[in-house]
Amino acid sequence: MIDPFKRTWWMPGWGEIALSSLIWALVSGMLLVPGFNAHHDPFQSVSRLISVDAFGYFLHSFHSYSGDIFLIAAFVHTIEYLIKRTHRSYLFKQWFYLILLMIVSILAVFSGFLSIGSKESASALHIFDGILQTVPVIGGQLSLFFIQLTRNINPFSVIYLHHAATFTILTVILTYVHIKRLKAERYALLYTGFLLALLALILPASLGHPADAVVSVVKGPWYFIGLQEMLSWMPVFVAGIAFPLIIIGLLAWLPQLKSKDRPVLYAIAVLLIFYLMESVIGWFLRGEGWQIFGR
Amino acid sequence: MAFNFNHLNRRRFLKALKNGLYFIGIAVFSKLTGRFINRAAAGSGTVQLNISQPNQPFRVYDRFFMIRDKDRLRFLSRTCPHLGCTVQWNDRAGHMACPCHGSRFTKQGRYLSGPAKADLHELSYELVDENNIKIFLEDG
Repeated sequence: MIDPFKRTWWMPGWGEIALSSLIWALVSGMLLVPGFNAHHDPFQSVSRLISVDAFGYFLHSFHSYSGDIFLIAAFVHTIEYLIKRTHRSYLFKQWFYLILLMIVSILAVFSGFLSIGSKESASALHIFDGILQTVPVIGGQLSLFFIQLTRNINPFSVIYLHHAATFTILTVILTYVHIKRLKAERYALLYTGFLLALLALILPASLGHPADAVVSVVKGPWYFIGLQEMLSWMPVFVAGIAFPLIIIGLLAWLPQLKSKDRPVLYAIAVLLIFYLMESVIGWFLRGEGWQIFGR
Repeated sequence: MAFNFNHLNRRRFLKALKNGLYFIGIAVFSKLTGRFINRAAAGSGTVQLNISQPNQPFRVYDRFFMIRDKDRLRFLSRTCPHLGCTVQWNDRAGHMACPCHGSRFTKQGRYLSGPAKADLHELSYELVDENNIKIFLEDG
């Protein structure tokens, strides 16, 4: 039987790919800083960055894909180790830091998407704000902390700071706490760098539409299309807060269960498959006006 | 006489006291932080509009739709009441639609279908002079 997680001579481990992607994201992100203006018109600054210089176009795509590959590799790495039941040997505190790493990693990539200032990211910013507002008691404060969706402050500059500082720093720290190093295996670093460069060259990352563009449908980043689909038919609190919290809660529970973890693992698998189905519907079937098969 | 620690020895008492102080400290810090973050609650912005142009029954602006009904002007916010995306006007279908989750509204801003479950918010305005009006936008 083929083991999809077995390391081969040509393919590094998924954890190493994730770490390498993180490193490449940090490097490419730092190189993009001078060209990106989050305060005035972020979309225009990115458009200029990619149009004025071919390397800028490459760098933007490279950075964008490094975040995507980081998420994918981290997800597969997580699944691999859940299947191997390594959570049974974790203390709760160690496991808690891993859960936190998962959350800040997703927020680090998502906040990067939000910072661009495109039509899609502006809509996503409003949706994110709307979801945070449904959190009881502290929803308003959470929204103000992360987004500051008011007239006085450009929300893109706030979320950009969280992207470049808050979530990135937390991701790096928690990664170090997890594996006690930040140096990736040399081969994995080269392998991932080559993969990202190839992707950036042959499939330049889409920038999205300008914020004032007239579009018939707005689709968020691929990892949140499922959430967008769920929001179209579920209450906001259920889709945006309860659903992810249930998955996080089940994951957090695993080390306590030791050998009795099978039902919880199945529950997590069912929820992830459901999310995948929603993502497929949102990606392939939703068209104009977010209608099924809309032209 | 020393306090009776029969059922709660001194070490456990001090640990409980320490935990209690931690909780109080976190509660106080959270309260102060929440109050600090709340400073950004700003009022609505405004937009000034010149209405001396030829009468158009319906017009799309960045943040609102303008509807001219005989002599009455109405301004409908383009912010979807569901989760704040910008509602688009669909000329072919003759209705307004949210591109994020598919909510639909009539040309008058009345809710038709989708997760929004509310009409588009009507914005208030005031006359600046005979050719200009000031429209009060909602927050965000």
